[in-house]
Amino acid sequence: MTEVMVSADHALIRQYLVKVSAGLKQIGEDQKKEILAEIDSHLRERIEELRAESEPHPLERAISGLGDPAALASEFVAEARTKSGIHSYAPWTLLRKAARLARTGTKGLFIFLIGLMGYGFTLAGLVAAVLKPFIPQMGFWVGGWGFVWGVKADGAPGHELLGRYFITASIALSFLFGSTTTLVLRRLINKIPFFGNWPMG
Amino acid sequence: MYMAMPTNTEHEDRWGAQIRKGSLDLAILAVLWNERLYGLDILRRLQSASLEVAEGTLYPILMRLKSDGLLQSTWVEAEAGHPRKYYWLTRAGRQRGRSMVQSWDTFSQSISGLLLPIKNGAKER
Repeated sequence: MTEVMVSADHALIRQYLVKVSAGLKQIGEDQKKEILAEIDSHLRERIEELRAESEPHPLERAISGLGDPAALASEFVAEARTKSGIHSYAPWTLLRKAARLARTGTKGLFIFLIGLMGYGFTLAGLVAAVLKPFIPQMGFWVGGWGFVWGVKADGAPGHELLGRYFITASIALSFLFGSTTTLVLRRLINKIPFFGNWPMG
Repeated sequence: MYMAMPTNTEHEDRWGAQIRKGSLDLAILAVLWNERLYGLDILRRLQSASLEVAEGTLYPILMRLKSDGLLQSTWVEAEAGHPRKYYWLTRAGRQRGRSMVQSWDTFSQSISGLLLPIKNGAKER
């Protein structure tokens, strides 16, 4: 169980938070701490308000205002389930979602750039495979200057390594880039809803 | 066999609660349109607009709106002696707010047209 790391100095608040925490099992640890800290802050704020109104039992009133701790926890869990996560594996859908996230901040922009690069390499690999029969110089070239996947510069010394296997290798690499990008993008996009699990920006 | 039918008042209460719940996201975006507010402050603004929101309902919704990238938040040390979590709209939140207002207007115009007979009592027997 998550240790209640909030400033709850009153036994009743602490008890309440522990009960809420027990109902938040399906929520990530950082997110859970964030939720508990916010409830703690709310209760303290509310207690001050009620004291100012000369309410005889401010603590109890504040706690009862939030309702049953198990019910509150299940509201959090229910809302977390309705988060607009992404379930699709379609690159276009993932890229569109990443583009929308890019407008929300640097983390979103980072995800979008990963998507662009990953799918960019995927497309480049497929294009290279398709063009190979028409451009014989297309290949995996290695020379003293490094290596190139495509067409080497005219006159540059070097030799081609894959020969007729270039098309198969290109398609395989594209598949690898495409599937890895899709999985990474899905994971990152779905992690965005739980920013509590990310370093706080 | 006896089956308990909901009374008119119960039915209206349930219907009213559904309407409030459905419009809460938009109401929260609206109160945050011009300023950064913390949870209890948001609650008070909603209540002052006659939107009775249970305290326990607000925070899970704020969490979801933040999760969806519509809100951002930060903890601020308050004079009260404990930190407050302030929320504000992201650019995506503003875009969502605008599109929700458009949908709201369209919906309310359509419904208003349908409601005219009831309002005018034209077909009352």
